[in-house]
Amino acid sequence: MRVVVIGCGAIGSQVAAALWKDGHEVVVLDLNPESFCLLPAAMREDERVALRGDGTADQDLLRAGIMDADVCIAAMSKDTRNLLVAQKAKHMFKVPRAICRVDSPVMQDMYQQFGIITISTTRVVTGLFINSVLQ
Amino acid sequence: MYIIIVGGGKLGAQLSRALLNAGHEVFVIERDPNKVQFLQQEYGEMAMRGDGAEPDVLTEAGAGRADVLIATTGDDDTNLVACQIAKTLFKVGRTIALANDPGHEALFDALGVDVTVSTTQVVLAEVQEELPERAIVRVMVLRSNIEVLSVEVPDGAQSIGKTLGEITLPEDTKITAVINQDGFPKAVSDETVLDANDQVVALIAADDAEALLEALTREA
Repeated sequence: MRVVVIGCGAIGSQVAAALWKDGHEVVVLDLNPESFCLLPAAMREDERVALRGDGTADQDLLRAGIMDADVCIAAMSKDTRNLLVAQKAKHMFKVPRAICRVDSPVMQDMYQQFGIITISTTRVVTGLFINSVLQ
Repeated sequence: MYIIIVGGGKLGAQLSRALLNAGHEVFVIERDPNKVQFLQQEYGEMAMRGDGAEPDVLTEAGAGRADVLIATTGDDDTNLVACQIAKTLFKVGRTIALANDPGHEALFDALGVDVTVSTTQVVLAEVQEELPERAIVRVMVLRSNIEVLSVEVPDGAQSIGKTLGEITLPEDTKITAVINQDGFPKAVSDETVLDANDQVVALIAADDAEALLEALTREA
């Protein structure tokens, strides 16, 4: 699959690296080139994989190959930016699967209804804590 | 009406003043505490500090009873999400967003924002207004291809002295206001007589703009 990951933070870099190791064609977009240090060397040294750019800007998304992507993962730190980009990917660039990281569980429920696959980090982590407490 | 404004910068503050003066209840959500303080000093307890794209903040601002939400921040993502939350979670009847990136205008429309105003569009309107030979100003683009246009009747136009009923306008044109040169609105009907320098505001299909301009400004 062709996957465009936007935001190379703790989550974005891990997801991108895991998919890349599985043999998927991955492009990671981030404004700050220093974030690419979170990627394995072979990824960050490949200019077609680690791409410097603004994930909310159309020309940078196009450069990342958003038109041919099967999946777009919005994993920046700000909820609203992720929601904008994921909706843009789905509606403007017709990417079949748009996945979006948010903090807020309320936002997760709401955007899930809009056809965006939404993962609330707060909800996931909270769930893990509760499970460990109850074990 | 109860109107929530997200973003209390220059645009938000100007809007607040205009809407308060028009008798509306206004509440502003702004991130910067200095701007919140300024608004409170000017207009009383009508502003709070917070992120207008967060459901909790909108709840606190009384979004549940708001008739309109206007998102005017410099962040398009905040503006879009604030409008979507208002519409979906709080059933706000009308949402209006500023698109700082003109490329986002069509996207916002498609994603359920009722009215999207783009800064380029506004600047364009201002530039057009400054150009004397261009007597037509695009006030607002509504959904699909319907626009609100404002045309000034120039000296020496054929339309002067005629009633709206006598002038052949493009089909389905709705004249919504006629403002005389002193800035007062005239009662609008087929009997309204046009004078020189009247400002005619019309709801019209975008394709008909030139025909409207021609009908109102053609020289006698």
